[in-house]
Amino acid sequence: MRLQRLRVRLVAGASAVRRGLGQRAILIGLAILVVAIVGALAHPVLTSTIWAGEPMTYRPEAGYDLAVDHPSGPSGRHWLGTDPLGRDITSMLLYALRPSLVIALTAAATIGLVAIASAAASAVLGRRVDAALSSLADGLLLLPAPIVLIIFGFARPDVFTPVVFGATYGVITGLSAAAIVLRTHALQIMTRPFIAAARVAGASRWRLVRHHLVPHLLPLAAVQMTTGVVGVIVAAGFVEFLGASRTRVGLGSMIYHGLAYQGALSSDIAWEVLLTGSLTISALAGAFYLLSIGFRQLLDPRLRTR
Amino acid sequence: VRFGTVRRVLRYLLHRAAWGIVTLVVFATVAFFLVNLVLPYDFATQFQFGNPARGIVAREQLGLDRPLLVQFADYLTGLVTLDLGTSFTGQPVSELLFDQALPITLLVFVLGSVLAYLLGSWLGRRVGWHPGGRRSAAVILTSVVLYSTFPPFLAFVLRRVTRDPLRSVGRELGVPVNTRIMWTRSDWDPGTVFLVVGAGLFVTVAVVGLGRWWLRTHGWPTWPAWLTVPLTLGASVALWHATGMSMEGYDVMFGQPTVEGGNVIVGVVAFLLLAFGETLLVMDTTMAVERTEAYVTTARAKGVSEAAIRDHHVARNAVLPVLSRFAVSLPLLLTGLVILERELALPGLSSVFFTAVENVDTPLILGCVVVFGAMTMLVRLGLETAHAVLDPRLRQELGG
Repeated sequence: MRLQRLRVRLVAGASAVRRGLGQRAILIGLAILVVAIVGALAHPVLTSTIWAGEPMTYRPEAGYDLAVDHPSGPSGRHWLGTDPLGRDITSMLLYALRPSLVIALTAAATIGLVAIASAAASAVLGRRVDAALSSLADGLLLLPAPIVLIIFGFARPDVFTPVVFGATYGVITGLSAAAIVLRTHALQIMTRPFIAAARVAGASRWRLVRHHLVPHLLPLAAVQMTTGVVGVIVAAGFVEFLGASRTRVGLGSMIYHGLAYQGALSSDIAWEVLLTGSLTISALAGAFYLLSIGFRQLLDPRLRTR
Repeated sequence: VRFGTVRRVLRYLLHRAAWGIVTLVVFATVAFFLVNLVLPYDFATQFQFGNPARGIVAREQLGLDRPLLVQFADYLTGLVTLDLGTSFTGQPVSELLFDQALPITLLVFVLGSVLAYLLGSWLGRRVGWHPGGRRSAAVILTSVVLYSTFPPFLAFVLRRVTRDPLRSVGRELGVPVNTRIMWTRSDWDPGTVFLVVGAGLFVTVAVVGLGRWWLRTHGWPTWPAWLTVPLTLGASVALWHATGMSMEGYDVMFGQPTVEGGNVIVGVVAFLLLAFGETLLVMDTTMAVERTEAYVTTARAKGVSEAAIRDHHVARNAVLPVLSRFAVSLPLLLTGLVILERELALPGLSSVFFTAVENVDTPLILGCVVVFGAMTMLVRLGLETAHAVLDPRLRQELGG
């Protein structure tokens, strides 16, 4: 009995995955994300293999290559070139992906959890809770989360580590924009006959939420999670770009250092650093945006790939 | 538009305004406590360095030793009269925000959003009408690239691209670049200039846009849609000359505040690029979906021309999702705007905001957050009104 249920779930899951990968937007978005994650994981591997001979040259934070003039363009030694301080850009890029991915994934997870919890509370805990959560959501909606995070990230870099940064953003967005969308859907679901049937059968509130509400909310939550993350990636990149973050090697701080030392150490603009940093931030934000487009298309049958 | 509709929309607006006040109070509460609890300093902190006793005295004199709840009550009563407290610099927050910073930001924001909407819906209407693999892919690619651009990078590129042309145009027009003549030579103060130039621009937009609409609905011949933008610009330039603000007008729109900075026009273009990708995408997808609906076949069978079906039947339906998506992306767009302003060295809200953030000037930070919230609120109200006017179903509901 249990095994059968598992099989049904697996089959349903597999078909959902197949449908998802059929959407070009989801496919490309996922591909970018996978490449980024693999890249982040590849950094320690590279330092212990290819770069193992010259650890000082390839250190992401304070490496320096005595053999070339900096900044330098792409070469066999430095695949993406070096920045004005002489650090290898490839190494910095792969190393910098880690905090960015942590922020993005923490934010996504928090948005999903908080929004589902808030929508479920609105649906099953009665009118007063619903009214309170709704006005909180409307009020928080006026608070532009990326700007708030820029303030906090700048003023309290000691507190706002990548995880806290992502989680704070997730709570603000999850309680406002995402909660509003999910709440409407949850209230609609509560009027369906199967909910009444489950209630008659003696299902508790908790069971209603777990077995009937959450599965229906998950696809919409996926749209909200991916849409929301675009903002946090830009905000985090910008806080680093301002030179305020405690993340010593981040995508934004790469650009910051590249531009800050450009005048002092050479007359050229460090295009290598500038392009690598900004395009990677854009690619990460774009990946999540593509995923959100794809999820939205999946949810609306009329929009599926034409 | 009949009188009944107007009354219904008005009643609806009144209802929304009441809701808006409640929302604003909730928002101000969250913002106040969030900023005050997360940021460790207040106005008195500056006195206590080296001499803690003076800090305590200052805190008492300023009432900062009272419980946060009491201070919050004070803040709320201040908000009603637009009193946002005192900045660490000693100036009133409202003065710092409203005199010059807000008008510039509003100018760039409203102009950029309107242009982004016009451009995005015009392009999306055409591309979405003939959906095909490659075209749609190009649209999605464009919008994803634009939407996810890292704003500082966009500003950096635009600054470099426009720097030399700007200088030569400035020389042609006789506008001295790298100066702000309205601050040095003008009889008007900068806030007034920005308000007149900005408001003048919006008035001309409204006059030209509504004029075209009126002519069309009454069966008169009109100019093609794309001419609206040059016509508006021409009309506003004429307006500057008529009011005797010609130099100030040119300076606001074209003058560069710093050697490396951009100007309002560059800011508008940058914000337009950031904002229009999504309009394009949503317009394109909705057009592609709507064109297979039954009402399109009906219109075709009646012999309505293809362009009329596209522009008057289908596009009208496709506008609604565009409006609601704009509301959703607003936080990201506002953030983008603030970043762009900073990187282009425009003396808008961002100049106040980043100074405040760098100095951890809590009252000023809070003031900026409140202004962003109020802007969001106004935009949402505007979008909802537009939605109510455009959507016949909502109009029906309002009548009930």
